[in-house]
Amino acid sequence: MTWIIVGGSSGLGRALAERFAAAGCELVLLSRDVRDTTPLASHLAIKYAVKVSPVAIDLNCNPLPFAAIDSILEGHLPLKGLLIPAGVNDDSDVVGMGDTTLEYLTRVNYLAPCQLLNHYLPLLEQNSGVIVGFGSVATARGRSRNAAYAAAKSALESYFESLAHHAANSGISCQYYVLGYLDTNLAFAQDLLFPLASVDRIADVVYRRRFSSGRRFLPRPWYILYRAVQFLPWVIFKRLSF
Amino acid sequence: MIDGLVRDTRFTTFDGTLSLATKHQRPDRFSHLESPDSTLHRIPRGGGYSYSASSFGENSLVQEMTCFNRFIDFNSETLTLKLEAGVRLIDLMKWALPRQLHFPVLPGYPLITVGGCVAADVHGKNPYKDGTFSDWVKQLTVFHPQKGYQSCSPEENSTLFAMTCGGYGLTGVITDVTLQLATLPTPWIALSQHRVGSLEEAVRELSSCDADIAYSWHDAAAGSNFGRGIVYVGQWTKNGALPKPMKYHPMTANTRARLPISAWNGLTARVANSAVLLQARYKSKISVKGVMAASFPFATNVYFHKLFGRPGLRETQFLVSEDKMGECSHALQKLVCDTGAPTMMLSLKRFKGVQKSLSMSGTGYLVAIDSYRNARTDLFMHRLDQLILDVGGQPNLSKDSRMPGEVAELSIASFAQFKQGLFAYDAARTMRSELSRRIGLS
Repeated sequence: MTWIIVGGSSGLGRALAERFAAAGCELVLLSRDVRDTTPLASHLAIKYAVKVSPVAIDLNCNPLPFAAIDSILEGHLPLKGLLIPAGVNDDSDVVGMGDTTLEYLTRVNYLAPCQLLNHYLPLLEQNSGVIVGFGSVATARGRSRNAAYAAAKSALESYFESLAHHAANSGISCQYYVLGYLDTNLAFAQDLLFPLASVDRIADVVYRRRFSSGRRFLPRPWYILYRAVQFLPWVIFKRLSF
Repeated sequence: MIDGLVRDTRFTTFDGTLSLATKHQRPDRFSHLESPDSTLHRIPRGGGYSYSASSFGENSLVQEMTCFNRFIDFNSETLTLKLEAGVRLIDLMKWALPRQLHFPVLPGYPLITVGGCVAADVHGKNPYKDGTFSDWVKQLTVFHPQKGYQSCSPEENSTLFAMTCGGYGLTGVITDVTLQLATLPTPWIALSQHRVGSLEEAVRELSSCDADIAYSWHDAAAGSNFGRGIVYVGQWTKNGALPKPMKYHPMTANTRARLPISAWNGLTARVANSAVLLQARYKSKISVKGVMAASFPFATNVYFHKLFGRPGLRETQFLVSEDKMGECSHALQKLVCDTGAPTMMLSLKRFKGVQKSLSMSGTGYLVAIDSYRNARTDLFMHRLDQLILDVGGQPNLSKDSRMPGEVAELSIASFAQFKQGLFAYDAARTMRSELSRRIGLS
């Protein structure tokens, strides 16, 4: 059984690849630069003796190169799951940003994940497959920063809720994780208000819950913070700079 | 513009004596590694366990390579393993042991990276038998911002290979390393300990033993006990299945220095050293340890370093030829006892090899001395520099965060050749660290 991991070269994607490979799953790793996923494929093959295939795909590309992915996937069928931990943010992501940045952030964080999901949905339905999406606590409320990122992730979350309705009648499992601070390159060497969660730990939770359904916060305490931010009165919230 | 986030981070040497803030990038993909402007000064960093500031420097971008930690290729016939420079030694050993393989040259701490080991050309528990780390390197890839990726080995591009092994990252960022592994005789080591009354006695024991692990520990506190110590000799032994995984709490330069003051002083040093010698008298003379526990003693025994606290410690390691070792022992004892030096412990290892680049290697005895810091420390270190020059010693640059450039230049045989080669290779000296500035290589 094969799993596709979108954004499998680094961060949470890489941790998921390591965890699923450790459990003996075959993998297809999608990332922009195969120079990153090729050594990862070798690494997983050497450590866990599993078949892993890297595919170059730029999520900012329209249309997405499905033919290239599908030809690699033919050697891996049946497809059991699609994990989409991909995402990107940008320092210039504030209201008034240029169109290029806005389109880029929207495409990589929302449109491309939805297009991938739509494309592989029929194949996954044949095998009672699994689709896992990943969002962010940045979607709690619109802030001065991460404007397009948070909007795109909110849209993705909504799309996954629609997918959950579809999944209820189709036999597939659908999960959506709202992630707090993770120990990835986005947060390294920063003095943050809250501790960073290990991506290996998150990947382990995702693996263990791979056949369940629903929306969940990881790490769990972020749910409380998320709700607290949502209920903050505007007069206070507008003064916060985060 | 630099892809991949860049932070301002304060770095501290593992000995806690030098600290500065500079730009910090932790690339986790090749495009991030390549993205800084090619003329920007930079220096690669591994686990950050060097006692000297070889992995950071003022106005130099630190490229931390810990995310480049993948195994790339394994040849089961030649037992060669190609891996990325950020792989930690413990991960290498965790992979190798169940496959009946091991890597013989392991420094004392498990979170040191393979790239760091190459850059400092580190040694293990028996450099007389196993040589230094670079003796087990078959091939390297070095990324230099203006020259791109360069493959090198003892046969191909050999000058770059020789300058990179023990070159402290000054030739570029090591991205991958091919290592020669060895067959694991058994996963257990029988470690025996013998008390000795002096450094000379330890030298005699070390010179006559043909062991897999051989080193000594000595009381170096000023006083009549100076030189009393224990010789540790280890041999592979059979003891059943694989040992249990080693449990340890990771220690960094920051966590080592949590104690605000140093607990080590003249009194506590003498008490602790006496306790070590006393337990050696009553404890079983032979203990059987897993290969990880025997190879990484500082992983489970962190208190020695932590008790130096925020003031930190000074360590000096130098290699002395066999014929000068007697003279060195006497001079060292005189220096410590006459001046009441703040020395704590001393260690000896027998060495065999060929000195190259800035690495410490050759034939003779390694002398390692740890001192706590007080008003007399700097004067002692200054006199120790003179002693090293007098006995023709060769210092280990990765262990001393303050050795003056003139001492390094006079005591490292290939220093002038390395310097000439480095400036010919990269006249702009793109790769820079605090160490390179101190010893005149920036």
